[in-house]
Amino acid sequence: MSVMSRFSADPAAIQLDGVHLTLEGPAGPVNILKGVDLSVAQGAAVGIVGPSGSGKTTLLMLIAGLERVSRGNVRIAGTDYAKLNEDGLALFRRDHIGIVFQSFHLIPTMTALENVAVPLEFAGRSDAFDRAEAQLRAVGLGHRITHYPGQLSGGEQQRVALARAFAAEPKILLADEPTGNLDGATGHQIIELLFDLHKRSNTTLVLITHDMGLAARCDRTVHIADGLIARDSLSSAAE
Amino acid sequence: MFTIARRIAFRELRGGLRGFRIFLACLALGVAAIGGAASLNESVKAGIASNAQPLLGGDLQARLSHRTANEEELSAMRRAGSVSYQLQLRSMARSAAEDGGRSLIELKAVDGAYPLYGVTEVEPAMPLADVLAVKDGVPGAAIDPSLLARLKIQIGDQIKIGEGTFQARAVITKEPDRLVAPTMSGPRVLIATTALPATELVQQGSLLQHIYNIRTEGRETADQLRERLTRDFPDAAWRLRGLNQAAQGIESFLDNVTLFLTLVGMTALLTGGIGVANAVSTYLAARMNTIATLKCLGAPARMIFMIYAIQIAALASIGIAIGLVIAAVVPPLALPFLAELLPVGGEIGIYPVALARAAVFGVLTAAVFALWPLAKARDIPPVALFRQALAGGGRPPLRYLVLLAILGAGLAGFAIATAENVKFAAQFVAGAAVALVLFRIAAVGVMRLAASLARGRGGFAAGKPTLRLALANLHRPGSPTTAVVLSLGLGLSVLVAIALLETNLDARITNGMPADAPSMFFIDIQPQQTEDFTSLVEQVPGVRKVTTASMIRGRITKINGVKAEDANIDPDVRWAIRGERGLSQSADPPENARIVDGTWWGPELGDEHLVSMDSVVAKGMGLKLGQTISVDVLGVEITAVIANLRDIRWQSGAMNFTLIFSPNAMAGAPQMYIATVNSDTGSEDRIEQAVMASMPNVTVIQVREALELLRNVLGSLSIAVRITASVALVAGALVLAGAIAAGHSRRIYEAVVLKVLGATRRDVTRAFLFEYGLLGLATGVIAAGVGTIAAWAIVTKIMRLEWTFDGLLTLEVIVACVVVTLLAGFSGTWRALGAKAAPLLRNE
Repeated sequence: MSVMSRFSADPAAIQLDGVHLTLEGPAGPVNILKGVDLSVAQGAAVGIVGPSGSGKTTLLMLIAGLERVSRGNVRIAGTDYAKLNEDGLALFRRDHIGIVFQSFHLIPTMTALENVAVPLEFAGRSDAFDRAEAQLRAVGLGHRITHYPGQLSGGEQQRVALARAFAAEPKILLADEPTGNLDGATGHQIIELLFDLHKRSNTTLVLITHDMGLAARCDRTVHIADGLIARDSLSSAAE
Repeated sequence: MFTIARRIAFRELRGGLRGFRIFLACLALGVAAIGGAASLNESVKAGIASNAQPLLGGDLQARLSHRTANEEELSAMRRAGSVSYQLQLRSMARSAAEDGGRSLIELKAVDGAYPLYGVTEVEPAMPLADVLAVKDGVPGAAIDPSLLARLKIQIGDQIKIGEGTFQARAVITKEPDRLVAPTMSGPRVLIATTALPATELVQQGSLLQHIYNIRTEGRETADQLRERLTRDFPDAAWRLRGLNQAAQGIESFLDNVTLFLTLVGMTALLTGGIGVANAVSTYLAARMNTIATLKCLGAPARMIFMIYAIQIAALASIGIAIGLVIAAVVPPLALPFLAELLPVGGEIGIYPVALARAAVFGVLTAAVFALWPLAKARDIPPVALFRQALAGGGRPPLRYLVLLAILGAGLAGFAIATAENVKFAAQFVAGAAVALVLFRIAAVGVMRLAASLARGRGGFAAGKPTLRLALANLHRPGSPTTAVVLSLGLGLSVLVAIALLETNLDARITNGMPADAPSMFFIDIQPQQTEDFTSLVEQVPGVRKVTTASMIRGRITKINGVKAEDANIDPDVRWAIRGERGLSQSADPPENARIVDGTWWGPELGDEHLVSMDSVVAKGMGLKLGQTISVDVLGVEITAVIANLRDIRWQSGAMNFTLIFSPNAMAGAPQMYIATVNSDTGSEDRIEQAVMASMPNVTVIQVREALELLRNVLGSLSIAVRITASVALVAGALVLAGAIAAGHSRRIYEAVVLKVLGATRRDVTRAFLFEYGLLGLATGVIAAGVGTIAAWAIVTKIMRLEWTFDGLLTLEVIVACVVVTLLAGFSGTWRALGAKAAPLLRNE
């Protein structure tokens, strides 16, 4: 049985076919991804692991539409990225994708509430602030909504980032080492929150991590090495 | 400690001068403006000094305004060396041809010895004596080139001056003792003194200048000669001028121009100072980790201050040096453009005093504006390495604030102490301080407003994340709002004030003349011509009214018995005691007189001489009814009692005199008449033709032409003033560019995060459009407000004129400010729109 079929009969949430990415470096072209095929079903959680420089983050950037493939095809939630221009990709992200970064990437001049409300406002939602507040309460930050990122701890900032990523109820959530900048206990809280939100909203989760234990909590673990998928296995949690 | 600090400082500077271009440009611009203006002044003054003899026309000059020197005086002058005589007056020249033109001229009759120094150059080239000689019974004249067109003549044609006929034999290309450009006065005509009687222009009471130039020939110096002439002829009432006064008018004009340029330079430096503070803050903010690391490694706060003070001092020295190099080359570059305006060329050279002064300004400005961020950097805690939010706030320690106050006072004091006009410089410093405070308050106001608009759900920016981001960027810590409002606002408000001043002056010239103002003035009418003149002019169709008045030249000598030069006189009315003025006498009050105190004299006058006086001048001299004023008319002192005070509206354009005497006071004094004519538009040429045909000695001034000339002079002056004032605006633009460049990486980051969250390029563009549009709008509105208030104060309080507000101009300035800010913002933002997200978002 394919790793995909157990979750959904719908088209794959993420479909990568023969994806190559070559970037121009100072010392000449660098082949970062060398032919990746990946298919992830709606609602699945996939952990992506691999050594530094193996191409994990690049893969996430391609799925997010923040980087263009050199060769191959990327189809997310049934949409072929090759047919979208830069603005089309932005609108697609707005409607379908949430991203959590290791470095949070909050807008420093906006309060926690405003940061969470931004994607909802872009989507023209009239209840942007109400939803944003509810989302902040859901991540346990109801008392911090008027605080600026500079006034929050790292863990709190990452919870704001999580609230922002989930606020627009995306089909796909991409998380790039979300606990990399946090201490163990805080990181644990964030991960619990991440999986809890994923489960409750049936979001497809792609989680990049160095932590094999964390990857094992996902339905699948994809090992990347030297720009290729070296191994793709069902996690014990999914079996 | 200093050695280590210096070593670390220079080690850190290895990174190059990137990020300091605006810092260097701001300092260089201000120093170049101040040093350049002063160098140019010294260069022109040196040029004047080395040409003083030809400019004066001799080593000593004696001027008499109502008589020629007598034999005794002449021989006293001749004992020192050669003497050259010339006579100057205003008159009319007209073509001898029927259909020729007419023009007001400055006539100069010279003797055979002229010029004692220098050469008069004419085209076609020939000796001056040949030009002026009588040929075929007609004397020659050398004329200003502009007269060829005005009189519709060619070289060789005949012209008429008064009753005399002359042949225009050459045009003047260089007149050695001409101080002012012909465009600023009237075109020159040179004739021989021997040809003057034929003109019949020299009459008792005519406005004449008899000038005697003396070339000393070793027997005594000019100073000794001056002393001897003053001692031997105490009552001669001549004005003796030496070489140091050769170009007195030009020199004081030059000092005023230099003062203006220095003030513009200081505004530029002040504006640039904000750029300096900004650049230093940005640089030190980027060094926060280094500073925290150095502190972790054991560097005390003092050493941190020293390290960065050394770096800033080194960079400031480079900026000042660049400014000085530019200042040094200003004279050779600017002099060719001034050649038309100046009597002599400047002396090209390096003027160390001018440059040193500019350097001191640069050093003090850099110190004042860099101290605050430097002192703040000193207190960055080592923990900033771990918690950046903790760093960068608060005030520097008290001792740095005291030092800042001392340096600020030093800068102000130096500006005042080194200015030619101390009072004006002090006013400028006070005005600049007030303006800086005003702009600071305005900037805080803009930031607070932005904060309150950005805040909260359901607020102004709710549902508009791009607008909220723009508003947040206007009030966030480290936002460019303060720097831009202060610097661009300061430069722009100077420009607004100047433009509104011009508009007001222009409006006064254009609309200031009431409908009943005269259209023509006539001077030098002989007493016996007045009746004929009136009846002649009244017959010309279109003439509505002819008014004549007698005019006597006289000089105020005593104010209520106190010598005029010793009297306590308000500077605003000091003009009244400078030189000779036109006085009048009349049995009846003038038609337009508004007597505010006292009464006009009746027909029966006793022995007492009475005078009617301008109430403003009387107040400025501290005079009241019943007190006396004395005037010197042709060497005779006449003292009169003030009988009444008149409120004179000089702007009315009607004939007015500061002093009108009772007829008994001026009995026997030689007088001329002047006249004003009110006529329909278009009749001026007919009137002028009629008068010139039968009274060629009378000089005509058409108000419309005079106003046109005045407007032209003002027009070219205002272009020069605007160009110079824009130096301050350039400094403002530099600061704007610096402030925007400092936020470049922030903008790229924001653009990327917004795109990740689903913003299109249009959304991102809109966010920046809002940010810079709002910043430009706020700055423009504030600058327009401050500039308007300044112009209003100058027009109504100093010039005491009616105020005209030009809403369109103000709107234009605001729009221009928005456009400039948007352009500056977008030039740095365009790249942010296309920035690739992935490299920024990868984990560090």
